[in-house]
Amino acid sequence: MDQPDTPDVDGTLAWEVPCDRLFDLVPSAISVIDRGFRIRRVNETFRRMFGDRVGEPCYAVFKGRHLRCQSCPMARTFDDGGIHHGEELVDTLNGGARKVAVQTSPIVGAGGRVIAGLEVATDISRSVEQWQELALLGRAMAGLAHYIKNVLTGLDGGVFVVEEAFARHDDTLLRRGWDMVRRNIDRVGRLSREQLYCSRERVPVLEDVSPNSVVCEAARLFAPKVAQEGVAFTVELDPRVGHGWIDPEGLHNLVTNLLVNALEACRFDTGKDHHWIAVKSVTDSGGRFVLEVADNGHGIPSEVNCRLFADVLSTRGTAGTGLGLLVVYHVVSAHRGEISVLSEDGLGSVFTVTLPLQPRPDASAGAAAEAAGDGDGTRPERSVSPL
Amino acid sequence: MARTVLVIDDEPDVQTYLATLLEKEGFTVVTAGDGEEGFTRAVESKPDLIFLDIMMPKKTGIMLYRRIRKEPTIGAVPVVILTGLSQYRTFFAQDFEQIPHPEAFVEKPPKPEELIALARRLTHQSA
Repeated sequence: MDQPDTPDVDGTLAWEVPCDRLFDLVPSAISVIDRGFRIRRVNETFRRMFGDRVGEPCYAVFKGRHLRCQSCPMARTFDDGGIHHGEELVDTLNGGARKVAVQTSPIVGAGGRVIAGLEVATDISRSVEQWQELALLGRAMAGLAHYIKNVLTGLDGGVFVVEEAFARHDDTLLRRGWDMVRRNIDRVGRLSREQLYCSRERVPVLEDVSPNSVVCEAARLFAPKVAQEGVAFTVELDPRVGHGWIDPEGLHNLVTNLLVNALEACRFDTGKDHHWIAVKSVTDSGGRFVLEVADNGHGIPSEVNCRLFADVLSTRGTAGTGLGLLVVYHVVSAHRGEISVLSEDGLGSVFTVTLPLQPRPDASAGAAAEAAGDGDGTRPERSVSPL
Repeated sequence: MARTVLVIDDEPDVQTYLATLLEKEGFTVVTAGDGEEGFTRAVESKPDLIFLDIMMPKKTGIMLYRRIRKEPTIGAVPVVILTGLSQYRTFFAQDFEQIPHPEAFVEKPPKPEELIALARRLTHQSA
């Protein structure tokens, strides 16, 4: 093999670096684990992610558990001496829960027996987020195409009816046609606004508001549509939820989109005669704002990959643009919040959004932009919403 | 004699559009906004042609189609499915198993001249 001729940082050539240093330079967390599942040696990346936890059980270090994990790639390596892979959610020192790709391989002693295992854990959290976003985008496009076709039909129809009304000198028909045109132009506007969220052109504008007031307003505006469909609608907002620096327009859009999805799930559910949607808010033990939107609609089919953030068949409805859940995802990301969904095919769904109530941003634009950032390292300028 | 066309779509704008278009070409148009109303109107008016939006709430578009095909008085009426889905043949393949297929699928937004030509052909009406 040709030797590299580019010196490394301290002037020595790469192949002269001691193995120990290479071990520490690897950007994945490496640990040597004995057959008692205790950590015997770690590299520098491991220490940064989990601390110097040599001597402790791996399941305690990675997962905070008292007992071994049921599905453990290291256990499989000890059993068969083979290399095994997995994806795990682990607790890190400073980054909270992170998704890691794990590979375990055997360390074989002189007698050919597996005496320990080497575990390499690589943080893939950002890749998982990007993959989820791409998958959401793909699904959104299908719903989007359907929505656009309905809008085009409405616009084509409106123009046709207006022209026909002129030919017939029929003012009543003219009004109907014009209303069709206006209605569908409004729908184009909605699509445009949601695309702005998804393309990240819109910068979140933080204000010191009560998230409950935003949720209440969004629910109030949506209530007539729910009533029109004969669906029961309850809103329970915990009065102890305080104020915080959030993006009220983003939150309003988030709530509206979750309600649209819930209503569509109810409209397209053939299994029940009576449907309901329930909105609830509380503050969790960490002071974060927790919003739940639940429905007893058709739920999410079991064949859908539930590792995705969510998949509501937006192609079944005409109310949503297809970008709804993508908008929700972006708003949650912009607030550095979390979202989860619990759903059962035929029974219904519960979407839970958790948003930190941001402390008052620093007066400097930089700090405010950091608080409003979407986690990808960009620092957008703070501005009034262009919408 | 004017042919009667029944337009069943939960979008009022689509009902208005198709009704205006078809009436201009001499058809008598009846409209309905959901599956239940659609079936009632179909049995009452015994139309010469039905335009049916397949994506209506609670699967009523598909359920209505099956019901129409099984109803002796209207089972033979030509049905044109309206859909916003490009992949409709794949999407609906399972729904149309073991029953006569629709006479045509029209993808939204429809081209007016093609819609009228289809309506004339299926109702045996000359231009």
